[in-house]
Amino acid sequence: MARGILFLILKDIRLQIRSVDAIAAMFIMGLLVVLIFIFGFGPIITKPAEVAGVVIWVGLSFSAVIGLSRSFEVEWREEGFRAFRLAGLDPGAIYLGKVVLNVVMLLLVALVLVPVTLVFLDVLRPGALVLLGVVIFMGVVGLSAVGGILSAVSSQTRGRESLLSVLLFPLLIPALISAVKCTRALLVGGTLAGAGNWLRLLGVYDLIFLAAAFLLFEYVIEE
Amino acid sequence: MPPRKGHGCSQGGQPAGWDSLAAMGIVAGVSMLVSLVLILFFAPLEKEMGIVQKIFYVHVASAFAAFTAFGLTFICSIAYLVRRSRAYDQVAASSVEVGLVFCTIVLLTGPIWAKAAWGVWWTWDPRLTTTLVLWLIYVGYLLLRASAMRERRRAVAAVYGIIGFIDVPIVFMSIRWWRTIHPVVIELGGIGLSPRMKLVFFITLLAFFLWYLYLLMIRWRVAALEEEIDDLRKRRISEGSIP
Repeated sequence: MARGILFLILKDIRLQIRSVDAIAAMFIMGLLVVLIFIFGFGPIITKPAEVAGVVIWVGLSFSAVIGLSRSFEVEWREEGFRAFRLAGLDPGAIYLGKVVLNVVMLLLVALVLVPVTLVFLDVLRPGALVLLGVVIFMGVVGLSAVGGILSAVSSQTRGRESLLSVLLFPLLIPALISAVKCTRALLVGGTLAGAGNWLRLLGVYDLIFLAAAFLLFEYVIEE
Repeated sequence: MPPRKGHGCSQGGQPAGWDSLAAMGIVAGVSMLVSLVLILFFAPLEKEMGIVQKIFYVHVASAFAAFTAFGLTFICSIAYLVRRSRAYDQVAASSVEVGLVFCTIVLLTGPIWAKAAWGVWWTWDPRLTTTLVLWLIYVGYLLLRASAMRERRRAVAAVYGIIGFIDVPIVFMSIRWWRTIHPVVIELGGIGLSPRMKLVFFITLLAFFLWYLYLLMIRWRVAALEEEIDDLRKRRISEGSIP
């Protein structure tokens, strides 16, 4: 199964490299969200370190929707699911492959988006960057775990992907609240002290939805 | 791979007939009336909040009905994926619709009570906020059913019904940590109500539950009939008698 997942990921990454438009659209979307926040709240942001977490996570979740909404398009169009089934791939492996792909894409976006936001708001804290990376990784896993299965669900509706954000955002609320709380603790205090519960909640959220979606995915893509 | 029986799955259980629906309607209707009379004339006035506190009975009973409804959808969604019978899918969908009505009542009575008790219309307390998120999740469920491709509708709705319900306790926990001022009426040590209030509360709870069951039974009946009509139409089309 590990080999199957690896093949799927490599296939998808190759597809992404050959057409950079997906990741470019994700990045621009995230950047626009950050700019809209700063234009909208610019002069009233008196405590930028408290606000930066919100800006980062709204930007990342909007850009996640763009990436997620396209992740199954190619499989339906090119009969990918039938091919995977013929190749004897477990449906759970297909799901995990897509999650990893989305995590990688979002991390690439975050790699640029987060420093840019921190510089714009002038809250760059070099000492907290490693822990910030951990928090961002965990939040991005949560976004992709729930988004992975819901984009497969919404790809089977008439409007194709337009339903994704309506289904996704209510379910993401706990993950986004925890991720924002952790990010804020890091940017304000430089440590995760006081946000330990939130980090744990985020971890539990990731694990619960990875497991649930892994088990349920076969019912989403059956024919 | 699960056994793939396609969308032409068996009906499974049947909804109740019109006779039992009428009987259930009388029982549920009478108990709603009784609870209403009890709330207005029997339940004592609360010392600090006065008459406004009586909205509590309707508010909490609706919340229980809504949670029961969404819980049933969760169970029926799992049962549908395992057994593949239409009945589970119909009950799951019907329960969401009825649950959303009760959920809306919670969201309307909550602010009315909050304005009188706390001086603000809306507070971001965990229960009210969780109810709002619940409302959003299950409106999403109905939108999904409405736009999902016909032959895939049951399965994807079931998956969303399961994932959505798993999210509820996590939402509740996160919002409780986030901020809280809700009156903790039900604690481990028992209920902070006078005996008379308690009596009225439990009768209202029961009445709302019966009313929920009644609405659910009607909705299930309608859902089954809708699909029957659909099947008949499809058969007529394939026989060529309808162009």
